[in-house]
Amino acid sequence: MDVRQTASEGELATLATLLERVVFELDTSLASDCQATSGLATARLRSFLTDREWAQLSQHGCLDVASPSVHGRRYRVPRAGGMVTLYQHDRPLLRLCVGPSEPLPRDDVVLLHLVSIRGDEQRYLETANPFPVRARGAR
Amino acid sequence: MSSLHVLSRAGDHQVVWDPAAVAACDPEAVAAIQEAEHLFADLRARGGTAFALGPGQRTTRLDHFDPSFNEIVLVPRIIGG
Repeated sequence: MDVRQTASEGELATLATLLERVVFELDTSLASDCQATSGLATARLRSFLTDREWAQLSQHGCLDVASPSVHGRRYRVPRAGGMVTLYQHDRPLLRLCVGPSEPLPRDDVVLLHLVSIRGDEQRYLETANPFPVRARGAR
Repeated sequence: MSSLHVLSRAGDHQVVWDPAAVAACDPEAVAAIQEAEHLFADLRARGGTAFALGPGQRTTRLDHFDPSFNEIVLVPRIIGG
């Protein structure tokens, strides 16, 4: 017996509408989850920063983290992602490519850099891939 | 109150406990400590790192779970790019 059936145009249209609805609901749900996760990450990061650190991050989009071991060294962590710049006495020396092994909200990534530098700077440096900072005008 | 934060792709996961309640053997507080300890061990087994910190305080890497810290943050393994 042939059990194949041919869907009518009406049935196909109903199916297409249902699929569109499912995709829309999924998109909405994922977007909502991402916004909620991002908001929580921001609140958490704020709770671990001083007012001065938060002001720098909010106004300049980066966070300077002083080295706990080397005088005059600091790390500039960009909020938008990308490489961290290592400064020594206000001169950029290296760009460090290092980050989490899994995707995180951007403010959780900032917190990850902050605690990794302050709590285990040696391992942070050993893990990062360093790139020299080219002087302006150099080819 | 003390808390443990887990940074992961799944979003926020936070465990909160009251040290005074733990000292008094409150079942809920003890369960929270046990959950925090489990999360700590699980993340460390996957290569993650734990830090104890607070605003304006020194940040310390934790190799063993210690509920006496006010704030503990668990971060996933970091990799060079």
